[in-house]
Amino acid sequence: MNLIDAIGSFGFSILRLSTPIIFAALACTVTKKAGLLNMSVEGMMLTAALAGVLVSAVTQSVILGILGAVAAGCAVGLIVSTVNLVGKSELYLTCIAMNLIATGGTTFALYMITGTKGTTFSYLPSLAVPNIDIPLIKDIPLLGRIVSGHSVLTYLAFLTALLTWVLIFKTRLGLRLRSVGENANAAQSVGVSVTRIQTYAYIIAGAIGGLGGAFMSMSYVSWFSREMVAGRGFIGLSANNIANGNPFIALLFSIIFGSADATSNVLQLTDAGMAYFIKMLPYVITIVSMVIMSLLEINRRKKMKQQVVAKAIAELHLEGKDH
Amino acid sequence: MKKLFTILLSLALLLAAAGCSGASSSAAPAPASSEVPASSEEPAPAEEGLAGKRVMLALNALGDLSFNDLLYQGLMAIKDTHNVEANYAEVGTDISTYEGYFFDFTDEGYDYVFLRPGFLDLCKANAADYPEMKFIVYDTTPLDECEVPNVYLQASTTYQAAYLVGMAAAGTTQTGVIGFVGGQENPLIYDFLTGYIQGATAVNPDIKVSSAFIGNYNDTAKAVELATAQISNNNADVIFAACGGASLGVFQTCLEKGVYAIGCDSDQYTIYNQKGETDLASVIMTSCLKKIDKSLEAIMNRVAAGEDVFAEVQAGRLGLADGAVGVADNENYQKIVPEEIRNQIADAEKKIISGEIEVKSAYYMTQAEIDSLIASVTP
Repeated sequence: MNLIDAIGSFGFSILRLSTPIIFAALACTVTKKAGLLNMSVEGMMLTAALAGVLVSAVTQSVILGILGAVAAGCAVGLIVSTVNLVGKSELYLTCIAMNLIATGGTTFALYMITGTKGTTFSYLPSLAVPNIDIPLIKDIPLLGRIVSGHSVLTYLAFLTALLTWVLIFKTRLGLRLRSVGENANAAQSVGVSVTRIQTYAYIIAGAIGGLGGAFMSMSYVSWFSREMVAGRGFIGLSANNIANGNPFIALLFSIIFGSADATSNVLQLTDAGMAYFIKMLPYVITIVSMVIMSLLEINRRKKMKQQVVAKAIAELHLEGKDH
Repeated sequence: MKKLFTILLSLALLLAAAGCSGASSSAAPAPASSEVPASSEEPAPAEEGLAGKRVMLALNALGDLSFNDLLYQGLMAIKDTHNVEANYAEVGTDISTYEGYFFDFTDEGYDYVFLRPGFLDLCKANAADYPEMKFIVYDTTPLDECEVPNVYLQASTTYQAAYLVGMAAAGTTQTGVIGFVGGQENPLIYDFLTGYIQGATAVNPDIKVSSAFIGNYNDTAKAVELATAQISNNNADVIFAACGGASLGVFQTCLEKGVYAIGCDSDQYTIYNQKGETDLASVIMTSCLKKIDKSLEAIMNRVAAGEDVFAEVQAGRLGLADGAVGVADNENYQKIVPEEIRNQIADAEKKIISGEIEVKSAYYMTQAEIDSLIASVTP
């Protein structure tokens, strides 16, 4: 077996496995910055995966299929945010309900449309997003094998990380997002509509999650099958929780999680026990880093409090001297 | 707003319930009546007195192009041969809902009820209260037992069929490495894998078998990854997909990479060919058949012949001798598998039935034995 080939194929797998996780993580990043956890990303992706297949099958256009997936993701985001912000429901329960609706609803729709509850394969002539070879790079021996020949959506995932960063840190909307996330009352007091901004965040998250869904049903495979997202949304959510709203760290951890998955897949072929250990790692990493981060956060708050108190005392002293 | 929200939520819950568990919790889930309309042509005369009996088949969900669709075919065959009233219910995989279904069936008072293995405990506990009904739990493990006098347990000798496809794989591979993608690491799937390995090594003692498991039966993307890893890391050029609906991911990968695949449970080549997916079908060189439809038929035939199968305690294992398992013999099989190997397989089939070749079932092996068998052929 050619070692270069094996490594190349392994690297290629990492990027392919990471793509849906990256989209999921970024979808969570946007709402996280607006102060809300997006647990419904799994449902967004699943709904979008079905929508992408349906629209591309009907219109015979890949672009429209992707747009359909994005629209479906946005719709899920809009429903969650409306129910949560206008209906004042508990966010997590809403998200869990939304995920259950997506699981049941997509299977139901699948059954209504194709008469089966398994897959759209051979029932709907849906299209796949093309894979592209990058000129020049594709000729570099190992790198070309890893980086070139991916789905357009894989490259878009990396671009989306950049765009999400621009959105959050370089635009007016991003500023409002962050202000709402940091302190909703303060934002409200200067005239920012918290409800509106958080709704926007959910719709944008839906669009990004929708791309992730499109990747599952229009790239990985070219059909929809029930429950095909299989927890990738939640893994993305964990990646984002570690990143704490930073799109690039979210991207990094998505790739780390993708690598763990790829390693476990390859290890399974030789050492099944070790494969399950590796498979567990992303979750261990998530828990450990969340504990570390919350400790750091507690520390930071403590320091801030001390500083505020010290400042107040100093001011009191000053006032006392004045009189 | 609150009202609107309430309405939305109720709608959503309804939708979720509908999608998760078939169309309703009653025993009649299909939108049209689940009672199968009598066929237009005159049914075959029912000579054995099963005519007019009411049969209920509880299955997971139709449309998997595999096991569940085969069950349905079996039901149809029983209906045609014995002129019974055929009903079916899609009960899903959530065992916690089975109690409701079970008592729906007993309320209806069906004469013969075919149940998923998840119903076994309910049968043990309650079947004796309904002596006028007969329960058949299909696809149990061969180790299962039930002493209740109106319950019969069916199991299949899938390892025999897996042995045969293992021979086909080892006889067809060019690289000397064959692959296996399983659903979950449970005895059911191990039974396929161990049979596959035994058959492969019978043809070529130096064969390498690369095996991997998805962890469920839905994740097609994971199936794609595992098959890709077997092909590019281990050079496998025939992959046996024993992973339910996720098998499609294996087939697609085999098509892309130009290697052969082996299907499971039903004749996947013929099914996909009929659906017009000729490209995909062309890579499926054969399938390891668990002809659950033939098993159901065999049981009903024995019942019709007056045999008291329900007195049996141990699960009855139907296999090659009953035509309940086998290797899919179709034009692709004829084309791809060398004739010499096909003859060997036909020969082995007879020898397994006569007992001359003894294939070990994973059910009677310890985990250590299974692991060492797998390790002995790992590339």
